[in-house]
Amino acid sequence: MASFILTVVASWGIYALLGMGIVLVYRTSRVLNLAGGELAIFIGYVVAIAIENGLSFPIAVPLGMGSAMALGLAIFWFTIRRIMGEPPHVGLMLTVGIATILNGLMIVLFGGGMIAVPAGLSGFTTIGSLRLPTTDVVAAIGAWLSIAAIGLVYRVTNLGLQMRAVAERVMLSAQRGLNVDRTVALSWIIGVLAAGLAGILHGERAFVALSATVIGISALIACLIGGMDSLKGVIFAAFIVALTESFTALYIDPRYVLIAPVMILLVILIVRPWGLFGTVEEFRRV
Amino acid sequence: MTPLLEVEGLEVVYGHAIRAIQGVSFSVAEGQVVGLVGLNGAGKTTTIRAISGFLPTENVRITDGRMRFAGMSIRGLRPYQAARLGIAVVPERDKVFDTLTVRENLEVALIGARSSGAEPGRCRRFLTVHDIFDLFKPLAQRANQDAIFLSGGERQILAIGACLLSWPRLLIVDEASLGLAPLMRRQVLDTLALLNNELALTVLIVDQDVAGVLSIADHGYVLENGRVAFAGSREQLLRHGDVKEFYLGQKEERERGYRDVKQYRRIRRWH
Amino acid sequence: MMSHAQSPRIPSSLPISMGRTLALCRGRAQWLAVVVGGVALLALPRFFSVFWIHLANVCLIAIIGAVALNILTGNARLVSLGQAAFLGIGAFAAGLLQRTYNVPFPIALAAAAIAGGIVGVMVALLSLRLRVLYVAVTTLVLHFAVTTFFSFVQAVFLDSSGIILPLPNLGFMELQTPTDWYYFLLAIAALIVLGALNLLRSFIGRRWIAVGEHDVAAEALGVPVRWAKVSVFAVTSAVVAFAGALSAYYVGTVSFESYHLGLAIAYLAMIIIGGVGSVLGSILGAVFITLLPYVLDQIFLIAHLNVRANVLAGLHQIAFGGLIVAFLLFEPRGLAEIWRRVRSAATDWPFRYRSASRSVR
Repeated sequence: MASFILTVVASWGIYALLGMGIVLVYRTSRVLNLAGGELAIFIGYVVAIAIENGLSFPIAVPLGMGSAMALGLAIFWFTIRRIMGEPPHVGLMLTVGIATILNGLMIVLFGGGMIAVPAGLSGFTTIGSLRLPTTDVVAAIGAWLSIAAIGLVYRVTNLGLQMRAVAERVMLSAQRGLNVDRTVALSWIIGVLAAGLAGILHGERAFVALSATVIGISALIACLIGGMDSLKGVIFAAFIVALTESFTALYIDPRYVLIAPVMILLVILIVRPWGLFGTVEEFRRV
Repeated sequence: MTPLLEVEGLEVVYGHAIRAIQGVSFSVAEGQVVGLVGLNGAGKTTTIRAISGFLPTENVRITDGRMRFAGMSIRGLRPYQAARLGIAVVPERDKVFDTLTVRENLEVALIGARSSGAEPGRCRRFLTVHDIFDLFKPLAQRANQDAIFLSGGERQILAIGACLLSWPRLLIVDEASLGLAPLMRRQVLDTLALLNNELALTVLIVDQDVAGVLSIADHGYVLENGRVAFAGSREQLLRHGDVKEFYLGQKEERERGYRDVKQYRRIRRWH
Repeated sequence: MMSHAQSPRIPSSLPISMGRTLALCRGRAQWLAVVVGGVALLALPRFFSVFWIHLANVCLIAIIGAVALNILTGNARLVSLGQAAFLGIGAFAAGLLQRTYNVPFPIALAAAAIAGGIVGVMVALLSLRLRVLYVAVTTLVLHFAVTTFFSFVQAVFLDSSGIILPLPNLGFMELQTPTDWYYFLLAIAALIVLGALNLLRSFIGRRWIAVGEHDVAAEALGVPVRWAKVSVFAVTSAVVAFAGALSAYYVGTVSFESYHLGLAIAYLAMIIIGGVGSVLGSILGAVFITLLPYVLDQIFLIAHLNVRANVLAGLHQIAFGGLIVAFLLFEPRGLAEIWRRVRSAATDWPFRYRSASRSVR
C-alpha cells in the first residue's frame, strides 16, 4: 500500500513538473507545447547515454539540465521568436513539427530503444517501518523539489514577476519597458528545463524509450483539466491523472491507463472547458 | 528654446482607406501641461500611439509628418525605444496588471525602467517604490492587495505612479478621466497638476473632459475629425467662442445671427 | 490567355453544379491543360511499372483524405488532429460490416462514410463553443478515445491480428491488380476534387470559409455558424472515413496499430506544406508527403550514405518535422503558393506582374 502511494506521488510529481513546463510556456507565449513528452524523453536519453559513457549520475544530471536549457533557448530563438503574435494554430503545428524532429533525432542519435537510466539506485530504502523502492523515492523527491523551485522563482523573484506581467498583458509590459522577448525566452528555457527534469526522473524510475513520450500526453491532459493558464491547476489535475493511471495500471490493465484521464478531460471540455482553475477570459482569448 | 515634443503635419492612415489624422501639428515645451482634447474618434489616441510607437504595424502607417522629441526624430520608433528616451504613457485601458499586487505593479515598472536602458546624456534619477507610496497615500494603504480590487481612480493613480518610476521626461496620459466619477476626475487632474508643479514634470493630457483639462493645462489643442481645429493658451481657448459653445457647453451671451452660424458651419464643413 | 468575355451566367445555388464545374476552367489554354493532363493520367499505367502505379494509388487515397482535411482545417480553420481516428473509423466500420455481414464493397464504403459523418457531427457538437486551440485538443482526445476503443475491440472481439478483407468487387469488375485500383481511385479522387472545388465556391463553402476567417463577424453577418461547423465536420469526416475504408480494402487488412498520431500529423503536414485552404495545395502536399520517404532514400543512395534501416526511419522523421517547421516559418501558404508564383512568372513574362489580380484558388 505504501509503495502504491509512493508510486502515485512520484507520477504526480513528474506529470506536474512536465505540466508546469507546458503552462509556463503557454502563459508567456500563448503557444501550446505539444512536444513536452518528446522534449522530456530526449533529455532523458542524453543523461542515459552520458551515464553509459562513463559519467556518474550526479554529473550527468546537470549536463542534462544544461542541454535542456540550451534546447529551450534554441527552440525560442529559431522558431517561437518568429511566430509570436500569430494565431494559435501556428504555434501548435510548430510544436508538432518540433516533436517530430525530436522523435527522429532520438532514433538517429540514440537508437530509440529502451534504456534505463542507471543511477545506481536499485534496491530499497527504509523509512521508518516502510521499505520503499529507492528509484521512486528519488523520483518523488526530485520532482517535488523542482516544482517547489520553479514555483519559488515564479512567485518571488524578479524574473517570475516579469513572467507574470508578460503573461497577463504583453502590451502593457512593453510600455513599462520590460524586455518581452527576453522574458519569453527565459520562460521557454525554464519550461524545457522542467520537461527535461521530468524526463530524467522518469527515466530514473522507469526507463527512456520512444514509447515513454506518452508522459507528455498525460501531462497535457493534466494541463487541460487544470486550466491551461494555471500553475496551481496543473498541479492539482496531475494528481487526478496520476491517481487514475496508477490505479488502472495496477488493477485493470496497463494498456488502458489513458482511458480515465481522457474521460475526465472529455467531461471537463463539456462542462467547464477552461479547466478547473483556469480563467474564462483566457479561454475566450484563444 | 526648442520644445520638448514637436509634431508637424502628422498623418496616419488605417488600412488603405481611413485617414485617422491629417496635418496635425502641436508642440509641448518642457515643464508645461498641454491638453489634447476632442470628441470620440477625433484622433487623439491615434496621435498618442504614433508618438509612443504603439501603432500596430500591419495595417497602420504614418504617411506624413515629422515628430521630434528633444530634437531627435521619433518617427517609426519601437515602443521600448520611445520608453528609453523618456516618453512614458498611461494607456486608456489595460493600465495596470490585475493579477499583481499594487507593490508588485510598481516593482515590475521599476524593473522595466531600469532595464530599458539609459540614453547617454539623459539625467537619470529613479524614484523608488517607497517614494511613490509617499507621494500617493491611497496606494500605500493598499500596497499588498491585488490591483484588480482597486477603484478606477486608484488604478489611474497607480498607473501614473508606475510611469513616474522611470523619471520620464514626458508623461502622456491617455483619457485621464475615462470612466471616473467627477470627484475622482478632479483628484487625478489635481495629482497631475501637483506633479507638474512640484517635480517639474512635463505632462501631455489627452481627454474628452475639456473643462477639466483646461483647468490645469497651459496650452491646449482641440482635435476635430483628425485635424487641429483650435489651438492656443488656456486663456485663449477659454475665451474662444466656438470652444465655449461646443466643448464647454457655455452658450454665447449675444444672439447668434444667421450669418454667424452659417459662417461657422462653412468653416466646419471645409475642415 | 483569357478568351474574349463569355456572357456571365447566373451562378447556381446548388452545392454542386455542372455549371460551376465547367466554369472552373477559364479559357482555352486551361481546357487544353486539363485534357492533356487527363490523357496523361489515364495513360500512366502503360508507361510505368507496378511499383509506381502502387505509389500513385497511395497518393490518390492520400489526396482524398488531404482535400477533406484541408477544407476542415484550412478553410473552416477547425484544426483537427483526429484524421487518424476518422480513417480508423471508416476502416473499422467497413471491415466489421464486411466480416460480420459480408456486405458488398460499395455498401461497406457507404457505411464507412456514414459512420464518419456521425462521429464528425458528435465532435462538432462538442466543440461548438470552443475556440481554435480547444477544438484541436478535442480532436486529440477523440484520437485517443477512438484508438483505445479500437484496440480494445480488436483484442476482445477479433483475432488480434485485425480484420482481413477480401478483394473488393464493384459489380462490374473486381479490383485485383494495382492498375484496376488505379483507374478506380483516379475516378473517385477526381470526383472528390471536383466536388471540393465546387463546394468551396458554393454558398455552403463560402459559409465555411467565413466561419473560418472570423466566426464572430460571420455570425454578425447572418451566417448560421453552428450549422456551418456541424456540416463541415460531417462532410469532411465522412470523406475521410471513406478514404480510410478505401485504404483498408487496398491494403487488405484492418488493424488499430496503423492509426497512430503520426498518421494525423502526416496529413496535417500535407496541408501545411501543400498550402492550407487550397485544393491544389492538398493535392501537392499529399503527393509530396507520400513520395517523400522514397525521395529521401534516393538522395541517401546517391550520396552514398549507407544507412541502417531503423536509422532511416529516424531520418525520415527529422526531414518531415523539419519541413513542417520550415514551411510554417518561411512559406506558410505552401507549395501551392510557390506554384502560383512560378506560374505567374512564366505566364506574365516578360512582364513582372499582372496589373489586375485574378483570384486564384
